Amino acid sequence: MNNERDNEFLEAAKSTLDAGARNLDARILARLRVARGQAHDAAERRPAWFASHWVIPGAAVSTALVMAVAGLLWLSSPTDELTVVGEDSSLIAADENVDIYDDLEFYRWLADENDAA
Amino acid sequence: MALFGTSMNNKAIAAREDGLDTAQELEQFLAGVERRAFRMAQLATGNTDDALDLVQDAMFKLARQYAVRAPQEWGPLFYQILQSGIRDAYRRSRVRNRWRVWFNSDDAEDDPLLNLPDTDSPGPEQRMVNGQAMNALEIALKRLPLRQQQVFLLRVWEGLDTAQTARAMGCTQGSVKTHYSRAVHTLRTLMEEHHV
Repeated sequence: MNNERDNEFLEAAKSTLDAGARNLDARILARLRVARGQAHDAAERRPAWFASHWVIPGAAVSTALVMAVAGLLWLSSPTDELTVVGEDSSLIAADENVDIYDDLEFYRWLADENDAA
Repeated sequence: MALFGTSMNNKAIAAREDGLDTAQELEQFLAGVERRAFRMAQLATGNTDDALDLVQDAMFKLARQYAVRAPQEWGPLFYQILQSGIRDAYRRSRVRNRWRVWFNSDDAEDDPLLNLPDTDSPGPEQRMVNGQAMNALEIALKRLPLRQQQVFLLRVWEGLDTAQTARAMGCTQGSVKTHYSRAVHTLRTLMEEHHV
C-alpha cells in the first residue's frame, strides 16, 4: 500500500517535472542550443583518438632519444680530449729537445746548404 | 523514466547506426538531457543564468574530456560534472549569504509555501491545477537540503540507479539511499499538507 502510494507520488512528480522542462521559454532554449553547439565544436576540435593516445608515449620516446644522444656526445667528447692529451704527452715525454720542432725549417735549410756545398 | 541504461543508450546506438560521428552523437545526447539538466541546476541555484552557465560548462567539459568514452558513460559523467559545478556554486552562495546576513540581519525569512495559492477553491481549470502542482513541487524541492534534492531528481527524473547517482554525487550508495528516502518522505508530506 505504502509502495503503491510512493509510486503514484513519484509518477506524478515526474510528470510535473517533465511538463516544467517542456515549457521552458525561448531565451533559455536558445542559450542551451548555443551551449550545445559549443560542446559540439569542442568535440570536433579534439585530437583524433590515436593522437591523444600516442602523443604522450611519442613525446617520451623522443625525449629518451634526445637524452641518449646527448649522453653519448657527453661521454664521447672527453675521450677525444684524452687522445689529444695522449699525443701531446708523447711529444713532451720524448727525449728530443722540444726546440728542435720549432727550428725544423732552419735545420732543413742548413741541410740543403750543406748538400749544395 | 528516462533511464540511461535504456533510452539514452538506444539513442546513442541508433545514432551510431545512422553513421553519425562522435561529435554528432554527443550533440544528440546533450539535446536529450539539456532541459532536465537545466531545471536541476535552476532548482539547486535558484538562478536562471547561473543554471545556464553550469549546464554550458558541464556540456563543454564532457565534450572536451570525455567525448571519446563510450556513449553509455556520458550520462553519469555529465551529471558528475554538473553536480560538481552545483556544489561549488552552492558553497559560493553560502559564503555570499553569510556576508549578507552579517550586513543585513533584519531580513525575515519568508516561507514560500505560505505563498502558495489556495487550492481548496472549487472548480479550477486543469491547466491551472497543473501549474499549481508544478509550483508546489518546485517550492517543495527548493526546501529540501541540496543533496536530498539532487538525489531525488537524479533517481526519479533522470533515472540513474543508486550506483550511478552515488558516482555523480561523489558519495556512497548508502548515502544516496538515505537522501532519497528522506527526500521522498519530506516531499510527499509537504505536497499533502498543501493539498496538491
